Amino acid sequence: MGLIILISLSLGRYQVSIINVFRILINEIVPLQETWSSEMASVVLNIRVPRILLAVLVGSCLSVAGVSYQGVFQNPMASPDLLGATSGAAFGAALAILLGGSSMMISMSAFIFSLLTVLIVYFIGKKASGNSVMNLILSGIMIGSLFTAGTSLIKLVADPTNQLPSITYWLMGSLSGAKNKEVVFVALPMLLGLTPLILMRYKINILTLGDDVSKSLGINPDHMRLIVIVASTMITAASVSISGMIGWVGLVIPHLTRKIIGNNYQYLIPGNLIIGGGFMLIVDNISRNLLSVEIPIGILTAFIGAPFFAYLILRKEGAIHD
Amino acid sequence: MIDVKNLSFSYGKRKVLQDINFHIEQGQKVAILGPNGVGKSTLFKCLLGLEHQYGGEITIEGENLKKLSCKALAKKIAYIPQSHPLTFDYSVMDMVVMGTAHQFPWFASPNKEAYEAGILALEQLKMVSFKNRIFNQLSGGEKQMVLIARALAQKASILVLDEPTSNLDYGNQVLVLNQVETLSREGYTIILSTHNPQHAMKYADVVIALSDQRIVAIGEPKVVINAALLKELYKTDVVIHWIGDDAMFLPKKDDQENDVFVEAQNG
Repeated sequence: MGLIILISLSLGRYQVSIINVFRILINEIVPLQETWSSEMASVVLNIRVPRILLAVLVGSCLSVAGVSYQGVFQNPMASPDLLGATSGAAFGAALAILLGGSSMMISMSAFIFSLLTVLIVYFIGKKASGNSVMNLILSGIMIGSLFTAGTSLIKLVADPTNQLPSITYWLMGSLSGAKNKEVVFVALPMLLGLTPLILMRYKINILTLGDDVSKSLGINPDHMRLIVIVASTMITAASVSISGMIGWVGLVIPHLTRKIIGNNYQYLIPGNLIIGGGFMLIVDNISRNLLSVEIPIGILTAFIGAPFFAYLILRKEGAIHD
Repeated sequence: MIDVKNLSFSYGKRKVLQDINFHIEQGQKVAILGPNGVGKSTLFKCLLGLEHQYGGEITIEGENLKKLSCKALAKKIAYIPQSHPLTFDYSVMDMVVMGTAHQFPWFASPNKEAYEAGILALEQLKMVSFKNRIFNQLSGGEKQMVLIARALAQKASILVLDEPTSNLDYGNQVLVLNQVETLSREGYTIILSTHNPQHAMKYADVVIALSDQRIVAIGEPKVVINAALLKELYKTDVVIHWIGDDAMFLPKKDDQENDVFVEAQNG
């Protein structure tokens, strides 16, 4: 992981060798003799470090949120957008762009609307009678599509010369907005959400067995599910509020990790943290370096994620026939 | 050990259980006998603390069930559900160790002792060689045994088995029921539901027969189970043949019924 980060720091239009990257980083702690130019230090510290940190954080968070949702909803097809967190964020961002907000305000608005959406979904799901898990999923689909429609409406009325392109670009997902200030702003809710998930990770296993079995094993499924949903939603909202819509990561990485280290959440959560972060970093490197124009990372994750997912499914079929 | 007084339960306006009273002693093997859909599962849900909206009172070891947290209840009573496929492929070992989940705080993962308890439970059932197998790929009987092992790892002294034989072939039914017998000899209190009178007769100390929301018979199987009771439970005529101490239940065919009728006329 450390190596991927170092290599990523040296990649880019502006040439900086790995050795110099290493020395620039060390220099922040212990002063070294400067073998690099001040531009190099500036590029590495002010542009690449925040971006790479963000890529790792977003990748980790979306993957952990995805795998946690899969557990609480007992559904391997669940992903972080299941309860409308991403549709809400998209609406919030589009609204802020329409009203001419700064990039900070766009992120704020996306974050708040994302949480708000899931809150509405949760209360509708709770109020409805019957199977609570199914109700949550259904109201997630419902409220999610409502906010997607809202986003479409905003796109319709947005100024087509500057607002519409920036909404569209935001929806495609990108990490290019990363600055040190913003990374700190999202890192806080991310750490706040990741901490309970990491701590209570083993007990998510129990939730996958269903409510009755969970209770009879001494674990209250309602409390657990609420905490996991709140924490997962927080990290999803924080991620999409700054990176825009990055699809597939929250579905593909959990499945890949399940294939590699099994289904026990004790190892699954740390596994997703590392593999998700590493995957996003590699994809972001491609996004930055493949063409002279940056490719929105949401497009790349879909291009890489979808075929990869197909491969995983096909391989699983094969394993059953063996 | 378990006291049920005036238990009643309804889903909305539909009454499922009424006037249920019984007492279970430590170490007893109790079979809840009745046709499908008579409220056996509902009774279990009440006993396991999964449904709290019942009327009457249930006490376990002198404590009111409604006042026990699910963690406290899990220390006393373990549930062995009907085996069903899991959403995710867990190994047998993972499944068994999940029985220990109530023993450590919410932020902790199972420690070495939890895994040792898991191995011990598997050893008790002679299932250690299965520990790295995938639960979903086991046969129905093997799954049921793993679920029993999980209940043993839970270290509760009361085991509640919901129709433990319902999805199993003949050999596995015998395997599971013999295991239940062994556990009973080791001191566990066993409550199982079944719709098979043969199983209740052979494996239970006490039979509680449910029909039409109520207990229609309760007591020693040899005393309680007879053709009249089975007629009441299953609306079917059954002939009971005794071979030594073992009872055999055969459905009465239509022509047999005629024979009886003819004999009665002649008499």
